[in-house]
Amino acid sequence: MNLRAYVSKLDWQKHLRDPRTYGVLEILSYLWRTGPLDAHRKAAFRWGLQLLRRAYRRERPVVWTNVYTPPELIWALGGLPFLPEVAAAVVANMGRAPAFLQAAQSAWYSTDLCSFHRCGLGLALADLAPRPDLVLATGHLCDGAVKFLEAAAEFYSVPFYVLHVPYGGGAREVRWLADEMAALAAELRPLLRTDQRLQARVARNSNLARQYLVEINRLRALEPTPWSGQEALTYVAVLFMALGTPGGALFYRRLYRALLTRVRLNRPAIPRQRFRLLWLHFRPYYPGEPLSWLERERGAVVAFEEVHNVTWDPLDPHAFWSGLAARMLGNPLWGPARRRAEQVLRLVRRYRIDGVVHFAHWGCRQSNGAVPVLQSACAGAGVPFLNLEGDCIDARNAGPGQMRTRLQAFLEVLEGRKSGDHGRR
Amino acid sequence: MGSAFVDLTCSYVPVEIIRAAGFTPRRWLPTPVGAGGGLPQSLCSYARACAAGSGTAAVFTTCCDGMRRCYDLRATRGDRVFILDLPRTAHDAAVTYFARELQRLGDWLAGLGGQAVTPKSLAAAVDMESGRRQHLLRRTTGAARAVERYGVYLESLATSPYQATAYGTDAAAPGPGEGPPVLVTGTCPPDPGFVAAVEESGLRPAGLDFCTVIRGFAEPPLGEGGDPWLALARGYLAKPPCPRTADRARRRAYLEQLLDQTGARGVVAYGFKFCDHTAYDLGLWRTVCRHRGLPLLYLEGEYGAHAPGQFLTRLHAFREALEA
Repeated sequence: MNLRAYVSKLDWQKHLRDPRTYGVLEILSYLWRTGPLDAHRKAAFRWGLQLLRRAYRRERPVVWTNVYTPPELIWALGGLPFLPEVAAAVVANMGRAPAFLQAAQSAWYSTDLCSFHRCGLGLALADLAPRPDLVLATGHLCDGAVKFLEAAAEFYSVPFYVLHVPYGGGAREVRWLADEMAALAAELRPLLRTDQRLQARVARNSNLARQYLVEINRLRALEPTPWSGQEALTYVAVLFMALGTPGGALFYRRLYRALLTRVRLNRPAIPRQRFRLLWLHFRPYYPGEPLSWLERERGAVVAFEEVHNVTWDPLDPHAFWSGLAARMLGNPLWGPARRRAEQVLRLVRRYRIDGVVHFAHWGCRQSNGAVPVLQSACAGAGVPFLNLEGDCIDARNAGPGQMRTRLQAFLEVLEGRKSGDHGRR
Repeated sequence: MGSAFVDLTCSYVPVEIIRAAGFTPRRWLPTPVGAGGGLPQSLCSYARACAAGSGTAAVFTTCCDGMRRCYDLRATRGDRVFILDLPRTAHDAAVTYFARELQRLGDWLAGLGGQAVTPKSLAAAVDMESGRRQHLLRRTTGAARAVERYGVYLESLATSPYQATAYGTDAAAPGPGEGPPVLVTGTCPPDPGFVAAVEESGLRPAGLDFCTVIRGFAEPPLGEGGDPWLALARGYLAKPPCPRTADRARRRAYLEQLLDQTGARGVVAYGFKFCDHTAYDLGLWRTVCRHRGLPLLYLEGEYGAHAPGQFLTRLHAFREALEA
């Protein structure tokens, strides 16, 4: 039997559910020789393998949650966070999303729903994701995540908790949310145990990662910017899952060193940088997506994306829950859309942005619904704005060709402004 | 001043507070806007219609992403709008939080030129609204046809149950169906034409579970004495749960109770396109219906759109399946 035939006969799903698969891959990853410019990739890869190995082995209770839930919350509770939305992006990146989307559709989940969530449900239906011991949703950012996680909890017959994140962001709301988290921790005690030492350790790792992230963001303001938006929007997975762990801190330290080296050697990830863009929301994760074309072939680098903006203070281990509460409430993507618009304008100034691209992910009501406010804020500040319709997970919802045409037209607008001496902010 | 309207877009806004502040609460059922309104087309047609604005002060809730963005858009335009943060559960801390939100609403209404809401004015408003609900119940109990009942509900939302005239005005319409009883359910307010289509197909709507009907007019259990804000908060969070709530067991118990009460032999679910809550609630409906051996029909439409002919075809087929 030749190798191709052997591989085609493998029961991939069985192997993907087997923790030993990730253990073997971790060992093999030692063979991956990295230099100063890509050591962070290896750190992220190994951390991801480790998480999957531990989750499939059920070393600790697995907690399914949604993006923008601070992962420190789960780590400090002694659980292993698993984000099906991130898993959906990984699956899409491997070109495997359609099968899982189809599985969700077959179970009557509407194609109008967010494809991150549909794909996550498909992974559950295929019994491919690590089984949760409990599901915890945070009620900020989007409704879909809460309902999707509720459906997942029902599917697995595990307890479902939802943390209500107040809409306002005052001191009273911070106190209330901190109390809710403390009460949740107390309620989860039979399954998950937290203590001050664990919280202090998580806070220390989180603060270290944050410190490097602040420095990384400072480097990204330089011209040329050292990182690519395509890679940055890939590693949001680390931000959503690894903060609070030594692996997360290691990733950001290595990334900082890589970017510093790039700056010192004048070797930016995107060599020719004609335009600087600010990217709002996530990017398409399937093969053939247009971001690499935009950056590498058209010289329009995504200098920054809103998701990486550090909007939170370092965590105080003695006021751990308050720190996490303040972080959730301070997220500019939560609360009135004008908060997000104000952040966009601040980022435009800080990163000397030529144009703003909002990726209008199909099914994302919270982000797409904010577009009129964002558009009007950008128009008021004279910043070109493109609402690029597409889908982060399901390539069938928007062809890359169509997206390229729209991006090309947008670049022509930017070109016209440059040659028309409108200059940069 | 006493007749000035304050528009509501969610049945979780306590009308008693608006009444106590000296305003007239009105469930806002705006004219459909099609592609207009200012919000993207991938949001539900009701949110898009509400975004168009009416010049009247409006209270939104954080009930869904669409409504939050509707509030954002109108706030940016300088409209007099308020957003009430609505918890998804009804545990004690959520009640305390919601009570504070209600007080914030009272303060906003006072700032709008209303009266300061006091425990006394609130108690009077609670009595008044209770009387209105009971009157509405009497009015609708006598209506033979579901579309008439629904008409009274809609008019009551827009004006007052005392002024509603819909009941009995459509004498030329066919009489109540003798067909199998069904529960008609959904998240958002359907067009009366949809309820009429259900009846026209020969099905008998034994219950209308929408936020503009049962869930909107259910008497919130307010209890006696104590802090009136807390009582209102607890009462509203304890009212029949809508699909947005995150207490699956409570919602399921409510659906089971509805089916028991109505004796429905099938369920007709109706939702607007792009309504995530409806889409996820269908999963629960499927579970409940499968468990009971009841057939379920899901129809998807647009706010303010009349029931298309295709609906009738599907409703007829559903009836045939029920009668087979």
